[in-house]
Amino acid sequence: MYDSGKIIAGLIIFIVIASLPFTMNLGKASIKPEPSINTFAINQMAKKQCIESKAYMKTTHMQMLNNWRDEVVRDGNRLYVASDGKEYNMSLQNTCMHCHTNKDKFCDECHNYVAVKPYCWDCHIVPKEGAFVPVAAKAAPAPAAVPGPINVHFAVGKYDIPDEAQHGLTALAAYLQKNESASVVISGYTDKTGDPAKNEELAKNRAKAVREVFRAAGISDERIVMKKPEVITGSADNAEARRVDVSIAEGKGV
Amino acid sequence: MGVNRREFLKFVSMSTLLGLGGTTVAASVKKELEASGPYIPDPKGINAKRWAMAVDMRKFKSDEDIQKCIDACHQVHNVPEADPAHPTQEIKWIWTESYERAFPGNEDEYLAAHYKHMPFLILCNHCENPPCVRVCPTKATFKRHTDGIVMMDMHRCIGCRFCMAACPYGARSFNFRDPRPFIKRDLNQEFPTRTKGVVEKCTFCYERLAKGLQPACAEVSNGAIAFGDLDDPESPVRKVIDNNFTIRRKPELGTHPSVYYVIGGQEHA
Repeated sequence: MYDSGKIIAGLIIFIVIASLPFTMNLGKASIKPEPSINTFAINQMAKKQCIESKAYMKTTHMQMLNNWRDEVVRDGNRLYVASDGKEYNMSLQNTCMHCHTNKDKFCDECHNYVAVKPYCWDCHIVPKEGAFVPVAAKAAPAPAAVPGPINVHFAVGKYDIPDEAQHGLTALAAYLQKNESASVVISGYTDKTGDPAKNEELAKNRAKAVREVFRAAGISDERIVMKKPEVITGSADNAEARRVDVSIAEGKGV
Repeated sequence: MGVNRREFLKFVSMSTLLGLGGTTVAASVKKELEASGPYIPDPKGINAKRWAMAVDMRKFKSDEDIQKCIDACHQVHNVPEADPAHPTQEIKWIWTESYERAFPGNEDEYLAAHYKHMPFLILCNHCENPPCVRVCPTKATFKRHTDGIVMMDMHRCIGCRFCMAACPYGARSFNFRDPRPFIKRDLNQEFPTRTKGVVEKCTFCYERLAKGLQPACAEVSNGAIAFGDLDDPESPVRKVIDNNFTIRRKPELGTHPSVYYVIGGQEHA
């Protein structure tokens, strides 16, 4: 062989460099990832059970989350029926992370080991480590302040409460439940059309319908003030006039 | 000779028939599998053929009333505030414009000052014929066939901003930077933020509708914003449209906006 010295030296150098990743890491085996399920929410569970079996979640959670994403965002399907028949809200942030509040010890444990970087957390909010505080109450606008007065609008000649008004009434009822000293003032109105006597009856019935909502929420009658307006045919606009005004007052009775 | 011409043709035609039969059977099996999938809509949700909004400007008595609607939306959706260094790159879901900017082409030299300076509440119009959807190369923005909401799928958005060029209402905003440092309120932990490089806009609160709630702005508007199904004559939005003179933004473009405005009449006439 010509130039055997150079070739052999070159080969040795090549082998040393090519095997560096192995020789450098010799004896430093990475620790096997062990995702922790030691969180407050999971410890509270009687039976520690994810939405599907552990083996299925381990191998298929990526496809599952992708399917969830597409179903929720593109098709508006929000519930997942698990193989045991239980229904779950399909949400990474509001379902998975409610139990797995330890993202860095659960998600990152494996993701770092296999060097994948899912972009979930660019947008989805990582829960705060430790106890999870449901934020439903916090998200609602100004729960502590006294809720402003609301108008419940009715159809012509009707005194059943429309669905769209339910939410506002529920909010007022919730406030009354929390604040014992507050009371609620209810005034019924009708539009100008039709027989005045019948209108008066209608305005009364509308106010009574609203009263029933508060009675159902457990508010005692002495905290519900029925106030008859001086003119029951309020406002120039007929649609606007067919209403019941509901407002919060401090102190019992008027 | 193994096969003659006649036998070959017989074989080919039979296998073609078999293949065709096979695909139809496979397709019907697939359909059945999809229909009985484990994904169902939330029964609490409210549905419509076409969601729409009617903004009654007469019922906003003060600037605070309008600000309340904007704040409610921004709180619920983790909308960031504008970067002071780049105020033109703000993220807008719901905001105010003057009459001449909201309804260009309709402005008159002697429009009553009351209307001229009225802060019109502007949001995505959720057009029936949305130009933004037509130009999106990834279908990241799309019109829901069930209820007409023009949706954003942030997972698919590549930030090309074609939709922003196409939207005639300026209802879309691009995230030039990570929005999180600019969210000054407490984060709504139930709703994601956005990330650098995606376009965002109002979504008619699809996530609240799915829970049976009204959109955040309509809920706090004290009745000034009526929301409902345009297809249902009994819906609140139709009642406002039926009883008032309403206008829409740039109707001449043929996009058929779903947001109607009542700007005057009766009380002011």
